Amino acid sequence: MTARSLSLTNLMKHYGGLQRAVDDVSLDVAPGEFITFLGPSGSGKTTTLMMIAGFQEPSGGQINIAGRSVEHIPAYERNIGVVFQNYALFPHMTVEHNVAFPLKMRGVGKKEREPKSKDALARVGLQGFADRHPGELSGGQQQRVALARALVFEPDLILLDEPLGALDKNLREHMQLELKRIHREAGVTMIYVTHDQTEAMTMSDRIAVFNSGRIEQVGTPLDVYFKPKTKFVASFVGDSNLIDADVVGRDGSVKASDLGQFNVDLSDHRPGERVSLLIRPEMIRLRKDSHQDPNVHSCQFTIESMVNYGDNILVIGTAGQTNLRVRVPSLDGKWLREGMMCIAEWNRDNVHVVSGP
Amino acid sequence: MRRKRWIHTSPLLLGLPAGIFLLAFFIVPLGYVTLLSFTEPSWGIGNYRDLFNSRLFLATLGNTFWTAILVTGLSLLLAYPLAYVAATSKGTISRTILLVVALSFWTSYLVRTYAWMVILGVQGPLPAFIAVFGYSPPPRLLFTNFAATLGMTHGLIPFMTMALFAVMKRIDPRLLDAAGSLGAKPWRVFWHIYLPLSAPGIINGITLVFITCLGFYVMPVLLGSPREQTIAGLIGDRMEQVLDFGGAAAMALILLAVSLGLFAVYSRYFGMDRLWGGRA
Repeated sequence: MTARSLSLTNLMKHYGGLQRAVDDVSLDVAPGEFITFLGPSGSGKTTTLMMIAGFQEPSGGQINIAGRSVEHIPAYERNIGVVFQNYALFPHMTVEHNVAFPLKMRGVGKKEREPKSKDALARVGLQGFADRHPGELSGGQQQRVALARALVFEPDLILLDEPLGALDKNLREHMQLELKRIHREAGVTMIYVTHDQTEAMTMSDRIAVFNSGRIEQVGTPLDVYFKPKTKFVASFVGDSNLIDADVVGRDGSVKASDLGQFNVDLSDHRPGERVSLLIRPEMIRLRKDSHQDPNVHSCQFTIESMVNYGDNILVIGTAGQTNLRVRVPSLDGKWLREGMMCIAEWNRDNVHVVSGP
Repeated sequence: MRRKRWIHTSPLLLGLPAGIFLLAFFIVPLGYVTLLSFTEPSWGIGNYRDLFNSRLFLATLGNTFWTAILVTGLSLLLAYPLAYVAATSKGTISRTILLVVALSFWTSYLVRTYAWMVILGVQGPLPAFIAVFGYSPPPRLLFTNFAATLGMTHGLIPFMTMALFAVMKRIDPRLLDAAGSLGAKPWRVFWHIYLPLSAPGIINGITLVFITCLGFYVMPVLLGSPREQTIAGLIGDRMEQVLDFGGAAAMALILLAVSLGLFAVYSRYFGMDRLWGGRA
């Protein structure tokens, strides 16, 4: 399968009113990349996908696949495989006929169709299901059929619209690994839409975070998690503490009202500027008493409530007036009790500065 | 203990009023008609033997079936696009179509029949319109098979439309998008996806309209040709003009048997519950 590049330039979509469903989205996807559109519902990620597929017409901007402009090409000539959330299998056809359908539409003869669709079914692990009807399959199996159907005609791109949304948690994790394997083996460019940040983190080469019709940040999962560019990205991806602070010195010292003054990695911020500090809950440690270390900042912390997740404990409490969420490995947190006073500390290089208050 | 027994029998009691009604107004009359067909004017199967030897009856039976086939085919051809537009478009267009269909449905057959009599009559607008093109005198339209077929088609299109609409409305539009993304041009999407998925609606509509046609009385009698009657008209004549209750009863039972036979075929292959809007 030859992987194709995709490029979106100033893509727009509005439906009459002032609110734009998709507002000036530009993005370059490399051949063979697995990229995820992550965002809450109504953020424009699905609309963008539907425009790439050709189900909706852009109000403005360009879509290029392998350098060819496709905005005015109808969906049936775009050669894009789409996997829908509800699978969209044809209920009146057998699994094999579903998978062979795109081949039939491309004028592939009956003799060639059969081995190709059997091969695609084998790739998703569904040998021996060829003669069933979609109604006789479980959700996970239907999802695989939909995937086989999107793979079989060697499309330029595969678009997946929340494909695992309807599956239960265990099956979902299993299918995530399967999808990654299929992506690796087929080498096809995949665009994956989800509102589930864990899914985005575990599967993607890169993540594009959508918010109110715009892309807020594009980057690797680690970039998006550790170096979010905006407060929205910081709070949408992963659990977070976002703390308002003032830059006080050129040496990188910041002052947050309740947490005191400490040094962080500041490159392009000036004294007097207001910023937000991102401290991930798992980067905060709780101790009985403080110790001296120039790389560590500590403050007084009062535990208000605790939620035990088995492998970790979420500790919610306050430092002065500021709420802090702390994640502690269960074995390290046996001594913690609600109402307890203790010391919260973090390494200064684990604090990420997000522009703007 | 007594209370318990009361609870157990109460579901049957709930069915009692309807049961009595059916017994009094359906089972008993039907039994009486059956009895008549074998006893009037004398005991035996004489009525049936006479009917199957009667050219008039067999020709009428043939004409009834032919008209029913024609009306069913025409209603399907006209109702399918209508139901399609109603099921696939949004808001006002869909609502308007459904309202017009429902209005036509709510108007009494008799009113619609008289309306057709006015339109098709010698002094009516349609013959006058045809005369404009030089047909003088205009062809006779009222009291022909054409008029009966037209009236019945008009009368039954709402049934066909509703049967089709009910099934079409449940077709997931995503399936059509999916077919498009897989490379199917619009007409192939229709042929391979939409048409097969709407087939249960077609079968429901055909069955409903065809069987209704077989027993239709008002329109064929008032609009149709007196020389090419349908069974329902013939039964009426037998009772009112010849007072041959036995013969009329036998005809009614033959018609009933044919209808039940068709229902049986339908039920065997497509399931009775689907006709009444069950899951396809």
